Amino acid sequence: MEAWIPWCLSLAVAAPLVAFFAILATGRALPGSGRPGFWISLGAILASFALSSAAACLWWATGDGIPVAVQNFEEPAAEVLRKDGPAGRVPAADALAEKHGAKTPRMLAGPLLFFAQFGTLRFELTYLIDGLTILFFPLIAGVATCVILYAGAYMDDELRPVIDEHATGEDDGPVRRPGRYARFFQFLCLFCFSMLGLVLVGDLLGVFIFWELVGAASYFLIGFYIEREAANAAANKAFLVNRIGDFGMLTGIAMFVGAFGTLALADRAPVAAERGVDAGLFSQVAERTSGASGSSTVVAPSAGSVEEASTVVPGREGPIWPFVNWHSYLTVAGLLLFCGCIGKSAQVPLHVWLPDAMEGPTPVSALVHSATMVAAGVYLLGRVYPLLSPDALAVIAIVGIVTALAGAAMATVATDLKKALAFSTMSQLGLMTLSMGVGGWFAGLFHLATHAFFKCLLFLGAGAVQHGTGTLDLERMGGLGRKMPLTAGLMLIGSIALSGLGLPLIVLPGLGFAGFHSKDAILEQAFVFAQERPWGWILFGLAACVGALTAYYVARMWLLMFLDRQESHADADDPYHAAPAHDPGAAMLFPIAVLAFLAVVAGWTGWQSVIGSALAAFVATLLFLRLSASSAWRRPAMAAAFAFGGWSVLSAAQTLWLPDVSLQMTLQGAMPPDLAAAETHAEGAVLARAVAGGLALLAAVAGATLAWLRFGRRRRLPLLDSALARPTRLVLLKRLYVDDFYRTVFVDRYFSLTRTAVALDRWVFDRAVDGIASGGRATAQFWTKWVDDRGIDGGFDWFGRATLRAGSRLRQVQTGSLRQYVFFLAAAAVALFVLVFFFLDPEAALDALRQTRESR
Amino acid sequence: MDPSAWILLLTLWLPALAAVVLACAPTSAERFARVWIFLSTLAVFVLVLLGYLLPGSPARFDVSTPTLQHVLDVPWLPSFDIRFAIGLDGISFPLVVLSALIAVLAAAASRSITKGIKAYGILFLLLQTGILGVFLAQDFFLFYVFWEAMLLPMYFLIGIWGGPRKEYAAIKFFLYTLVGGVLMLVALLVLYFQSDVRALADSAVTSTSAAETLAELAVDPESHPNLGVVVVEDPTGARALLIRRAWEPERELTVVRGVARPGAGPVGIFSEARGVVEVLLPAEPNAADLVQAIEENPLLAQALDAALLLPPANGAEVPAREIAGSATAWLRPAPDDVMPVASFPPRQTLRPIHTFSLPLLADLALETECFSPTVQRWCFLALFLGFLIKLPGVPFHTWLPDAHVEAPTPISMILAGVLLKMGGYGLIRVAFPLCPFGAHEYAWLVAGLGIVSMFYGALAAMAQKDFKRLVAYSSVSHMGYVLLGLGAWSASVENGFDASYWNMGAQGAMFQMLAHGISSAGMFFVVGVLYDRVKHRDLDEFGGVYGRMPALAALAFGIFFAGLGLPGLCGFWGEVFVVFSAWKYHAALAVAGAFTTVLTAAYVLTCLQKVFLGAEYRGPYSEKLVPLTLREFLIAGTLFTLGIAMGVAPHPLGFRWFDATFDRQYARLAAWTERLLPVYEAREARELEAQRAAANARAESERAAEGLSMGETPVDPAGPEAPGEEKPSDVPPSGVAPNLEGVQEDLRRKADPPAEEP
Repeated sequence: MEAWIPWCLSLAVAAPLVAFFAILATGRALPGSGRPGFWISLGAILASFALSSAAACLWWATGDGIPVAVQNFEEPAAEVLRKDGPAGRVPAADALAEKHGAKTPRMLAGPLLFFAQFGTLRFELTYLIDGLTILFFPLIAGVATCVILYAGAYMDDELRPVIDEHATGEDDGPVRRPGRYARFFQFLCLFCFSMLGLVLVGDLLGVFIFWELVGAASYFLIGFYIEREAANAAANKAFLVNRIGDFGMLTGIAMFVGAFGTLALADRAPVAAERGVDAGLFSQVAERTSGASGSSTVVAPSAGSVEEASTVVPGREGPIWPFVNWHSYLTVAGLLLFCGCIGKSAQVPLHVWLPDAMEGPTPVSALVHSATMVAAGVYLLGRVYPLLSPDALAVIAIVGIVTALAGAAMATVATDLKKALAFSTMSQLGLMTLSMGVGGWFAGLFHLATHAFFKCLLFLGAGAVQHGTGTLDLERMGGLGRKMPLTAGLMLIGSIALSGLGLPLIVLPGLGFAGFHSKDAILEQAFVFAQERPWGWILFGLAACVGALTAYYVARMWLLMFLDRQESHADADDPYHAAPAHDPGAAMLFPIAVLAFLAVVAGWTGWQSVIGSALAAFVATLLFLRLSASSAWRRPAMAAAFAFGGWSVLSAAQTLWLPDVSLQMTLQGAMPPDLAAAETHAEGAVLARAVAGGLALLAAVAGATLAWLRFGRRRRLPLLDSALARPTRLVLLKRLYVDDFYRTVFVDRYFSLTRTAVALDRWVFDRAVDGIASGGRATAQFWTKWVDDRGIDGGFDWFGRATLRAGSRLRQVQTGSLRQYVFFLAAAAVALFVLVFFFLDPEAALDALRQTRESR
Repeated sequence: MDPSAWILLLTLWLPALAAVVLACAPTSAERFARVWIFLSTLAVFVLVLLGYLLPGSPARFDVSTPTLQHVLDVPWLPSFDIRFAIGLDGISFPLVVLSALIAVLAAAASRSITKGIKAYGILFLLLQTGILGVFLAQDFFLFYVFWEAMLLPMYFLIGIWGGPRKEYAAIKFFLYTLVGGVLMLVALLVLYFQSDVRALADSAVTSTSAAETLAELAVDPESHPNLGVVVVEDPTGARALLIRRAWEPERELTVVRGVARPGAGPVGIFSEARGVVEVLLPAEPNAADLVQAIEENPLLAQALDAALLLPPANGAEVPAREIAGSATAWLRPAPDDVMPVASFPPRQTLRPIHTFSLPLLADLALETECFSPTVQRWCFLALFLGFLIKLPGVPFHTWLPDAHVEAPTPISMILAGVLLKMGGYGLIRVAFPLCPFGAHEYAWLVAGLGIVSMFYGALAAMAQKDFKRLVAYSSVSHMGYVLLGLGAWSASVENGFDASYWNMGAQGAMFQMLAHGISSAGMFFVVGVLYDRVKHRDLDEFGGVYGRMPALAALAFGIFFAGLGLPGLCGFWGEVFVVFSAWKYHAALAVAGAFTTVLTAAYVLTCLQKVFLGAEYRGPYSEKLVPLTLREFLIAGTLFTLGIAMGVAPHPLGFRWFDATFDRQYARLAAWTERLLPVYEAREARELEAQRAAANARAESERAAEGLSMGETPVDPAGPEAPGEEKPSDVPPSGVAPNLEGVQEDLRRKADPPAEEP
């Protein structure tokens, strides 16, 4: 049975890919102006969802009951042991862990696709299935189903030839183009495939592969309106900024493979007795960081043991240049991995792509901002958590809180609905990252999951608003609550969930919407962290501020949209007011409703589920029955209500009989062992919970109240509306000038560098080559002229001429006069006589002659 | 002759034969010429696929064999032992397939050629033979001949069928490559005259891999008279490798088996593990030196008895296995203890045996100390420079943009898809194994130039206005990965010695070459398709092509993303493995290599946006922008499909084919680093020491002389002779200095002819 889980999940990953290629291949040939593209993709994603759910059922069915760590979750923790706990506590934790039988979380690992082997280095695509995977598969597939369902209606325009007014064509008029309905779903499928693949794979190389594919798919989706310059620029920006993050990630992966010789996270199936090549990164890193003791998978190292850790790579002797020890090596490697998360999850300083990415169609934004793309970063942090050193985690926490603050601040002033939501996403992701950094593995991922529901809901709602009004400008909206009551209601649910308010604020403090639980968990974690680290209080305080800001901007958004505004209705020629806004059709509302339901219940466990489900079912039934009074809504509302109610009842029943099947419990089961152990033995954190939860709620209430006063009651607030606030507002609207800073500092430099390269080619390298060539030609010409023509030829010519000249001179001697000849003869005879007599020694000559003869 | 040799020969010469046939056709038969070019390249491709991949084919390429396969080796110019040796191994085979494939696609893309199609076809086919020859040649001289032979058709193809500045581009290409060729020739001759196969014969007895290589030559004694190698296969399957005293070529090689008495038979060692008997044979069984050698090594005699499974002299049964065991024990001497099987006469008195054979040269370099450090350094630099120009690497890359921009589309495809790979191939096949010491010394240079190329190419590509120029610069950038991957191998000893990482980098480089062959050919084809329609390549004039040619846009996105290194496409694997490997060499290189991916993404995305995206096409010839024809679709579609396939299945379509060969080559290089590098380094140190001592002595004596002259003491015995006498030559230990001198002399002697030859 268990062996089927990988199969189910692999097929769940493959289904959207098949759909992608199916639509790619058929493309324009699809009948009905591409409508089948929607059905293909819907079928694929439904298949994915069904397979994921099946895998989840199998997982729960084959598991050995409730994971140990989970059972005591309700018990609060006073002393949460984290990676950076004092050295003295490690043995105690060890003992505790042993006593409680804390074990490594349940994992299924195995190979999927072989890539290459070089000597001892083996690279293959592996899967790693644990609670995290089991949780994220239905989550992604489910959210994607909602989005595709919604997009099927939302993208209706694309079925016909489109007149795109945002793009300037000939004569600055709008561009006419054929619709690209099927193409949209094609890339949506690619996106889902990449994200599902990312969740399935269990090695860093595989993670990187799907990671980049997610980026590429988002590139196509953000730039879906290819006729618009802004969309193209946004797509490029998203891809490039992500690539910058990925550059760090790739380097980090190189560090891991360089030190450990493998990239698989879990051990390969038959684990060698002594940790050899088969040991995955988790066990190797645990061994490295904890010194010699093998039992260290439970608690991560103290500072002391880190220092003692040897400075050589096991089996690969030699210093790990340029790092002094394993601790620093792992810190750097972990932070480089985190660079990828910074890019994907839009953390400061690589957050700049996120607001621009709103250029894509709204369903894309919904998907990008909920379960895919940005979720990938936090997911990855959760996945590789055991590889991160305490120092790396501290940096991660700081990056997280900065992002959370910046995002929340920018969201408070954003005038574009989608951009406001984008900044909110950035802020929430910052909170999740912070949570990871302070040891809140569970809290961060929990928030990621719940956030997926309500953020998707909000984006789809924003799309509905845009559909109804044709604008996203918050300043121009108002009074939509009457025109679009359903949208307003559903978005209210999303807003409450996002702001972290409990539903019945005072009466049942435990029974909040999803965001209440998850945000609570994060603050609680920060609180616990702060108890040990003084500087942690700063984090906690800032996180509480973010909570307040969140409530403020969420309330502002909702109020600006849906509350009546008297003064803004003056100008009647505004096209926005000309077209009466209305709720969208059932095909778009239904997915939003499903998400709203999830946004309510996702955080519940145990008794909360039972009460909450019943309550939700009741409310839902009431609401929909009332709505169905109008005949147009009868059938969809009935269907939705039944589904909704039934689901609620089922969920309540499930909570009673299978308590560990909820979102929280599944996540708990997947917790990294050391954290799980810490959670298990944390005692007396009641205080932490109460204080942190109370503060969080207080902050949220305060923020929401402020917004209510300001936008609902139209009060001028002394601090927010003062002259002093204006520059701040301007800075925030300019996105803190980060984009401008990058443009002037990096982008411009980059372009001047490219021009330098070209100039270098043209003026240095080419000049040199041309110079050599012309030098060669000049040399040749010189040679031809001076050596060949003048020198050699000239020499021969001279010789010829000289011979001729000499001849003609000598000819003058040949006079033919006999007397002269006789005179010459006589003179020669006299000269010879003189020579022989006065200068030659005949004896010597004879001697020489004799010697020659003798030697013969 | 072996049928596999026929297939090999046919692969090589079929294009040339087709060119001859085409030459006989009338000039007016243009249609025939077009079809003929395509059919002949297709025939070559089919032949390659069927001949090497079909199960049961005599020349079937066996992926598990790391050594050369299907070697055809016949004498060509016997007086210099230049041989016509062609063969395949994992390094050449994938490139042969790639070049055959790209040739088919380029031939199909030759539709746009309108003038002189017959001449074009002839040159095109000759070019293909030249390229295949380079990849198949296993003789250095033959390699060089093909290398240069391929240059001329290319020159004419660019110079006649090119764009407006074709003459300039062609000449530039020609001169650049010629310089590279000349440098290679210098190195070739130096290595030839330094090589001495006898050194191998000494060590082959002890070294496993050398024996393998010799076996890999698979030559019969007639065909290799100088070497005297024979491989005898037992009916039982045991292989015997017999090596004659090679410096007496006039003697006959007699394989004496069955006589193993001390003093009466061959000398041999039986390696139990490998089942190989390695025997050193005298021409005459009673050769005195061998008798002596065997008597000095009774164990050896016993081993020989055991190996040849003969009863010992006294007739008593000796358990063969036991003796064999002792023989293997004896075989395991300390690394520097080169086995004195026979006391060879001093080498100086004998004539060295030179060779051009690439496997033998590699053996000499990797197993013996035949090539001195100086030789290796200079030869490596010359070879590296020659291949760097071809690759091309910064700063010798400027021929590439010009050649590409001016060349017609199909020629650009071949140029980028195949020709550049010859540089990388040369590095893997020639430069690194033949000069390991030089490669080790200059690995930083190789890797550093790789990084520079990657950065520089990516930056320069971004600033281009011409579509084709941009693609050309992208080639510079992508081929930089090849340099980095190869360069990162050598010196990783400092970072924790693990040959697996070298191997990874080199295989990544190899994969990058294949992937770049696919993606860059595709990129140039896309440019060509657009150019054929709108007759310009100005990036700023493009935009909105997606709306007009959606199929082309889809294929182009796939192909360009493959070049960008998107996972799931072919460009990814080379990059990622090279970066991983570079980390082991130097962290900065890995960081820079990884960062290049950002720059690559920048120019690729910008380029795609400028060409395909945007509102609508507003450039010239708008009406001519018609959708892809089926022919174009098939060409681009093939490359697109391959790009995806190689990305998804890098092993079956990539690593599988060269895995074994690289494993072996890098295992050998690793062994060399462990065994011989210290020897070389010690040698260097000694020489340095000697030089320093000499300098000291000279300085001292000078000082002494000076002191004397100042002190005006007239007589000193040491004083006058010291400065003039050149004492240093006496100081270094014997065996080093003469060798070095010989090298320098050889260098001096051989440096001249190559300069004149071309």
